[in-house]
Amino acid sequence: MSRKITRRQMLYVIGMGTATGLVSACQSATPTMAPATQPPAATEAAGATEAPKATEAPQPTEAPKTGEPKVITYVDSAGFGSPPYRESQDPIAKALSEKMQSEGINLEFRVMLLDNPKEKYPILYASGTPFTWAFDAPWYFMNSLRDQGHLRPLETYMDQYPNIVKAISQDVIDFNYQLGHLYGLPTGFYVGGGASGVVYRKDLLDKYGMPEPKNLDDLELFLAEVQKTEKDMIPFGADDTFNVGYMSGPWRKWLPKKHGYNPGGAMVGGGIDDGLTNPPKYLGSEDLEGATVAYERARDWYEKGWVNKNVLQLKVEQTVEELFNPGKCAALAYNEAAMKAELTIQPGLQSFIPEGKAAGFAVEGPMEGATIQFSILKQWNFQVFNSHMPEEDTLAGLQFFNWLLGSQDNIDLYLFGIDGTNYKKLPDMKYADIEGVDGTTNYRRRWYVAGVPGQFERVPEQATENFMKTLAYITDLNNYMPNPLEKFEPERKVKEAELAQLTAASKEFSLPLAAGQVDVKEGMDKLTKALKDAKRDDVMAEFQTQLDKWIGDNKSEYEATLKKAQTKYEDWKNTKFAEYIKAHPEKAGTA
Amino acid sequence: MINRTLSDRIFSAFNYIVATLFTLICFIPFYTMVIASVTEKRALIRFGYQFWPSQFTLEAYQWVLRGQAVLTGYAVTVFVTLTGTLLSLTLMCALAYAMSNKKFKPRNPIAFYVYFTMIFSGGIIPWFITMRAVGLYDNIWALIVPMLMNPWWIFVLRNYFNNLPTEILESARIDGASDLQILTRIVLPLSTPVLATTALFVSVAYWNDWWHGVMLLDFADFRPLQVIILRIINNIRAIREAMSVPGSTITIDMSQIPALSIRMAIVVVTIGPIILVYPFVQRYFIHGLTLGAIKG
Repeated sequence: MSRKITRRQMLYVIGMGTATGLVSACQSATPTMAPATQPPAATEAAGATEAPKATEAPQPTEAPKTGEPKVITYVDSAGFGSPPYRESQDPIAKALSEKMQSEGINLEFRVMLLDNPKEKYPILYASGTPFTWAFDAPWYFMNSLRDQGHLRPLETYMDQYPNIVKAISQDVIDFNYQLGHLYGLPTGFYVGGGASGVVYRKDLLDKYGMPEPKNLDDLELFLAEVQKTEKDMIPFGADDTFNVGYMSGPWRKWLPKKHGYNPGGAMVGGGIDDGLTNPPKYLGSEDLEGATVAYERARDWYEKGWVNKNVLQLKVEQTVEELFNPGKCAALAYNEAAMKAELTIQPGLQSFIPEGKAAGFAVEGPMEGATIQFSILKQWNFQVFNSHMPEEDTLAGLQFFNWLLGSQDNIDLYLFGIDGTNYKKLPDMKYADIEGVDGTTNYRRRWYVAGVPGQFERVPEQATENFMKTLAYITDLNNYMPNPLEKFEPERKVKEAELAQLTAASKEFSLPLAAGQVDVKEGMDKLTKALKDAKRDDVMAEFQTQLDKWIGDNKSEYEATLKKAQTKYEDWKNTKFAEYIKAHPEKAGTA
Repeated sequence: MINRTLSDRIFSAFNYIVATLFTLICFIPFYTMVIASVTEKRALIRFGYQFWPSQFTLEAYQWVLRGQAVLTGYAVTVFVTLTGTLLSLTLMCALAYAMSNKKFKPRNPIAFYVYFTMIFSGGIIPWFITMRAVGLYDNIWALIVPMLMNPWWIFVLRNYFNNLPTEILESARIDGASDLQILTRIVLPLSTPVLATTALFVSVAYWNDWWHGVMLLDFADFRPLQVIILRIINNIRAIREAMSVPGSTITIDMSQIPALSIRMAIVVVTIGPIILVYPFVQRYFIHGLTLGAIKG
């Protein structure tokens, strides 16, 4: 028999029921960034990027060989062109798991795809979401996550995973300690820069009967000819990053003599004047060698009408797709121009201009002998491990990398997918794309975000001789000087607020200079004043103190490396540079 | 017949001109978007936005609609929108009715509780932890439940219910009707305008929602339409940006991908259904803007 409920009872039931629903109404009103969590824990002495201390390494826990495989989860925290689709990722994850298990490694690999990684990735740590490792970098979230204790130091485990050490190299591992610990697996490959440069229209160059440009002086002749001959074309396309001010290297009467360095990229509005000078000294940007050279060139080209007016409104991909490919500009600055002109840019240009031909050269001229640079062993990108997971989870993740880096077949599967389905394996570490396979959804993982050193990534079959030559150059340590200051990294937290102000001031006043849109002297005065107002000199003084202390603490290592660098410099000066000057007598005595 | 003076006519003409200009200002972006979505990619880059496509193509739509993902996304979004709107209205009406009943003593504490959530939230990390803890993760309910109760619309509904003639409700009570009967047979039928308005706003919110999909779905093999669209855009952007990254050897010919027209086609695809429904319910929308404004 049913019993009629009273009005009061009914209202209570409705009220209680909806109150439960209201819990969910406590949603965050706006999808904002996670609030800053607690300040960093007191860490070791500033700049202490020491070699690992000899400690007892725990034995890696082998994943169970029988029963259910242990699941390891990789957070794809910044896609970089790795297709964010389950149907692209899951078959490869399955194939990797099956291959591991068939070889006695009882792990199951899976990928967590983030649709909005910049927001969600840090929340995963703060909320305790389970995962094993992720891509991260000092320019991404790594420094703050490290300071908040979310990343597990790895140095004590490295001895147990020989394939990892062999592939990444002990040198690279040693150079990538932060605050005394190894907070991630560095992805090493390139050991030097000097490949940035200019992509230009070779078909136009051939039409004018001009020789291939090898430096900015040659390029100026080409740009002047374009302006004269092609009435509807902008000679040089530039954007907010890759513009005239961005390029460095020999230009007219100027040839760099010093070797400036900005440890950890930490200083804004200044840097160390010359890494080969002892003691090294921080200087404001206006006092560094060649401080205004790039800005003067930018202004000169702008006044000549060689550069587009909307420099600061464009991104590099727009400059390529909207200016260069449709034939609206004849040249542009680009990363690894000599390598990528024919490989990456050529197809797009040809789709608009069938007879168009793209070529590139490195503006700094290291391969010619015009300059020599410091080697780069400190890496940009890392695989970091979640410290909130049990240690066995990290060990399972490391075991995965040890397995992965132990065989080229494993690496191919991880980076390229399944041979015959996602790519075609070719001899000599080359590969071919498969006709008809959509490049935007086809599985691919880029070495520099995947924890695989670049020498293990196959190169496209269409890679040119120029590409291979440049690649060989920038991966050979013998072409560069060792950097005596590379293990030093200033502790930024002590001047965090000032650095934020400096970044804002620098952006506001240096971009118009780099675009050539303001008078150089006037612009430099404004920039310098803004930097000084933002307490640039205080930050420099702090970093100088840290640097002096670091040198004091690491005197013998610093001096030994400095000596090697100075010797290398002298050798270069007497050989390659002497040959360069012989070929370019107009540069002799310039400074 | 009313005699209109010259100044009346000038004033009317001026009003018509302003209204026409304003209409054009609103219409032209939509028009440009649709035209750009059917313009050939190279023509779009070479000549910019055009009044009429110099080279007509549906390539961008083929890109957006290829494969099952967008169709699945549509199905998910339609399900979420319909289910979410229905459940949301049911729960919010029940709560609003309870809060509007003067004989219900806890109505003020509950109203304060509801109001409190309009002003303060727990923050994104506690919210994220709570959602996962109650199982709203990697399932379809993660897209529905978090948006079920909206304090603003609860108050709008309560205020509307407050304004209904108490005599009708009292007479129903004298006739022996229970609260459930009063709510379903008297209050709701008398509240069609507010229900239509609320349903419209809630359904638009469900339709447009991408954030819960992004935050609460990781391994699920479905995504709402808005997240699938976000993925398409993010993927193309990531590939374009990665081309200039040191060390990248990407060989995809980006000129074959109509990136700009894809963006426009995506907007057309996502707002299409709402645009079609809008003319039929716009009077409720206008009415909705003034609801709850008279009596607090």
